[in-house]
Amino acid sequence: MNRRKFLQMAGAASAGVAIPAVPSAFAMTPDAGKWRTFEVTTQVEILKPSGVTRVWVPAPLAQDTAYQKTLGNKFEAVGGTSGIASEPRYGGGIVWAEWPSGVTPILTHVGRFSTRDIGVDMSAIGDAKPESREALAKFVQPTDYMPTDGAVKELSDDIVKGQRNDLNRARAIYDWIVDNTYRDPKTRGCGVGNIKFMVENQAWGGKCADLNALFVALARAQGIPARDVYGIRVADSALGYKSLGKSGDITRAQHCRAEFYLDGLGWIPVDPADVRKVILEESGGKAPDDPMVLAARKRLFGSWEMNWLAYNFSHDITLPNSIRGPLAFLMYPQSETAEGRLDPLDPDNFKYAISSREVA
Amino acid sequence: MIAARFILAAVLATAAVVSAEEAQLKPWRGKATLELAGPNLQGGKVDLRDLRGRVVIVNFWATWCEPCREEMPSLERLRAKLAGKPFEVLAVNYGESREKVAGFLQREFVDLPIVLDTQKDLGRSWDVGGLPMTFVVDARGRVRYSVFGMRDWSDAKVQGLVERLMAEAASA
Repeated sequence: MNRRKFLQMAGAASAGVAIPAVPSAFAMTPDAGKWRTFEVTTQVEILKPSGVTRVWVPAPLAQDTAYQKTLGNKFEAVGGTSGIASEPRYGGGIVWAEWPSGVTPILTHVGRFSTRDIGVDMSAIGDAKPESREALAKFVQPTDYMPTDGAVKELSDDIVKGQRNDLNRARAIYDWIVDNTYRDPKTRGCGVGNIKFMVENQAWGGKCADLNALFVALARAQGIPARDVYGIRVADSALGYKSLGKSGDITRAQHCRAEFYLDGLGWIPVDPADVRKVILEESGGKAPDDPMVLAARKRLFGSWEMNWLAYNFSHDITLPNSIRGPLAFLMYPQSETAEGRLDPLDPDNFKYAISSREVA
Repeated sequence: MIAARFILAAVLATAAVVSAEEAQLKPWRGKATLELAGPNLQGGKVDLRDLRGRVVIVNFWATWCEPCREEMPSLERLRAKLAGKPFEVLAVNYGESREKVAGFLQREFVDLPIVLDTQKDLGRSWDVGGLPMTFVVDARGRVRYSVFGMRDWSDAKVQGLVERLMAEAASA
């Protein structure tokens, strides 16, 4: 219990805590629903520890947004040390733990947050508080997996040809992804998000980390600030989409979304990958012109049902005290032993369970 | 025009995972030679440089990758057809443990030379962004072709290509 730490609020003073409380530009939210509060519990156990063992899990979004407020993090690593760190470039919160040799490594993390549905009215001139150019700069830059030049730029230019403003360019990119990519059920996890590989090989199958990262890369190639938002589904969909919700045991419910930024409107939520998910999975599969698909397609350009927890916007993350190289994104728990980094999708070595509970 | 080309390619790419014939070898435009050295299942070390003089197919795969599993028998067939010739296949497992790979090979009766890339370092240096990803390396160690997606490696087209590369080396 002496190693147990509790952080009541993100940004609260505590050893090893460095989460900035950054005010964000709130978009207009005419569809904003009532706030709901959830607790998400992540328990990680390393089955074959070797030497010093380290574990990292993503914490709820460190910045408050129009759709999510993080209320606190609680974590415990019996027999080891633990803390919460802020990834320096994007501010993503990372709960870390470390155990010496000979200890069974188990980390428990509980994140509490409030969330509400968000929708942005793009038909009106907005008055959202603007983000600074400095804050936006990193969201137009390339990442290791998301170049904004070469074949990505060529494809992006072709898609937006004839569009006169960034809203229409973003819409054209969204439509192109919905029309030309597909959700590949054989893709492992949520995909790897290697957009360079995807475009150069014209490999248009993938899951959310591929398809929504493609939106981000193509938007950034136009100079439109855009970001992946990595997270996890925490509740069933109230809109009737069985494929777009998960409650209770959410161990395999990771899901990332995307946002783009426009002056006056702020950050605008999109999720073309979930349109493809409805096509593939809803009630055994739906045609692209099925009313349920068309409704999802319309809704997911500009709004999100917030039965989902946002973790971070981070790319190319150096995990605290990691002995390995940067991680493309942090959405799954991660671990390293003396043998190297473990595969978070291999339950034989790396066991974890994530559960969600609505508390208010 | 480009959009039309991408749409056509998307159709072909979709087909690539379901039809062995559709994943086509493309001339390699990356770095001419790439290093590949790693442990095998027996605890020894495999180094692509030791295979100079042979045409080598380097196939990145994983046990969870269904198209990888489906194309493996065709790699075995090609290896059997070209037995005794300056040719080899290296099946580089992407990101899995020795135990998992050994169990899979035993269970599935796969018999190919394996290289373990447990930490995905080789995958990164070979720019592997999806599986299966396969490279054809000539007898001088130069990467000549690559293909993303499943294909039949024992068909006449591949065999002809490999034999042409072997002849190219013999006449050099």
